[in-house]
Amino acid sequence: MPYTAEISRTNPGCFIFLVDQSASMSDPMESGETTQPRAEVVAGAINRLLTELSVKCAKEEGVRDYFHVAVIGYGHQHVGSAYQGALAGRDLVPLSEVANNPARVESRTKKVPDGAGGLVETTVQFPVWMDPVTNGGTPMTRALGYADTLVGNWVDAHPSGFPPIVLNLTDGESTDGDPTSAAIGLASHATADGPVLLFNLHVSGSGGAPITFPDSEEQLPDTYAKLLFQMSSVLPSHMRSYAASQGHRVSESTRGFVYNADIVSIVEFLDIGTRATELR
Amino acid sequence: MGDIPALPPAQWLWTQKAGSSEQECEDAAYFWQSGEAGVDSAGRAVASLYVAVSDGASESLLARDWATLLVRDAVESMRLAGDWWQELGTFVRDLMERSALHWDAFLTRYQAERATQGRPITWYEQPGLEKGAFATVLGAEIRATVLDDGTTHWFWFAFALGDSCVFQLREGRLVESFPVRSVEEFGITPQLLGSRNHDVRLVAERMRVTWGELLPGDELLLTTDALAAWVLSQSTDVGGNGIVALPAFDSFDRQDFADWVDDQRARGRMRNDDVTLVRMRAGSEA
Repeated sequence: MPYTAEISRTNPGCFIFLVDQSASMSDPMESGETTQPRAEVVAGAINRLLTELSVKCAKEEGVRDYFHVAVIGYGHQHVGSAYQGALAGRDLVPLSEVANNPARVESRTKKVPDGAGGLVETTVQFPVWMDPVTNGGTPMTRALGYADTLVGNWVDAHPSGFPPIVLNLTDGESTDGDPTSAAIGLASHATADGPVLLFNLHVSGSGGAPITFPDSEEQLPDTYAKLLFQMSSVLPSHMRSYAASQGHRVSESTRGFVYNADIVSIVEFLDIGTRATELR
Repeated sequence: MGDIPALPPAQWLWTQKAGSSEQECEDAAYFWQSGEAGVDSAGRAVASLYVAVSDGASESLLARDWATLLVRDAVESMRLAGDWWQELGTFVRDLMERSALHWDAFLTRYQAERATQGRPITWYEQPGLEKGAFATVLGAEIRATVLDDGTTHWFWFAFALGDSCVFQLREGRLVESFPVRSVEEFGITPQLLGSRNHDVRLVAERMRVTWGELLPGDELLLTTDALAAWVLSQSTDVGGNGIVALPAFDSFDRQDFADWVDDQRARGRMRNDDVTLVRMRAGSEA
């Protein structure tokens, strides 16, 4: 059965984030009543994804290297590492190094339940690995090609492992041609456990209701969204189960595609052992 | 009042997940038996062996410490309560209050030690510490009771939260499987006791209790989930005539057990996980 390989320190997983850093990412993402530059949404998502991955894999002695993670930016004349700080310039980095080397850790206040029906302000630490960047065109095809190289090397070195997961965060407006072929090429790499998984987060100014893990393109508002949906892999069965447990309607055609909605919950789809869940 | 026969000695075997060190094993087990006979609520002479097994959830911080604490507290709560299964709410309250007290003291010590070591709690640990540690808990009492006619009867009583299991075997047949009865019931989201859970009513509602009679030669196995799933994969008819082909555990030491588990993993018959077995045979040497 595919997508059942153990993810552990001896059989680590590979996560590649592709981040659109083109000029159009300075435009707002409109979803409901909130408006925010797309680049801010995407950088926030990356920082929270890396945070959630680190917390998920944290044990008493530190973060365990259950994953190696790359954050690849693509924008004006540049496709390459988007890490800032000590990790700048690096591609795949063991998760423990990621966790121990954010560019900075900000203190932010947030309101949490006070246990008596009210809210109280508390300070939380928010690590930052990348800031929003917006510049030039959208070489998505080149970015997928860059990921293709990383994935190819990873699969050669880990032929039995859980297949690499590539998550592309973009407004979808590729300026170096139709990325479909590059996406198909990327997803054609496979380990003995299954083909590479390519997921997409579409941040768009086209408005409409946020859509999470659809199983058809009917409700999608524009051609960019439909193209990214078509490029996205079908969710493996255990990921579908988690999506369903989080309240999403799923079918066997459900794809790893999110339109103007939260993608960070995807970290919960990853199995590294018994989950720490409250009794219900 | 007749003499109490010797309680069955318990055998404890365990091994860690492949790829982990021994110190990273997040299973825990503990057993204790009284040195002298007591008296039950009906005034009969009794002697008991108490056993507990716990499986710390790998996605939680300090799961090993929580599991280790829980098995000792579970044995203590059973021992102090007497017929603990008859007042489950009281038993659960005692266990949860006892473990919460011990856990708070442990956490205070842990955080002080980390500060002393120059390793304060990091941002990636903080959410896990706030969420708390999680583990299954399974407890059993094997009780010898001297009846009015002078004969001794053996019973076992067990409680479970989660998928750590107790099996009763008679002449190789699986007489009882508790609380899980089929391989399909195992998953990665078992019911767990969280170190910050203070909802006694909910835990008492979710906790399962059972009991059974032990005949001379019967075996009781308390196991964490990977071995439990292996046992259930050997016999699909709990209470039927199917034989569970167990290896000769009675002659195993820890290394033999680790070798056997490694072999089963290599054959794809057992999931890679920490594995714990506590085993007793009634009325004979283990």
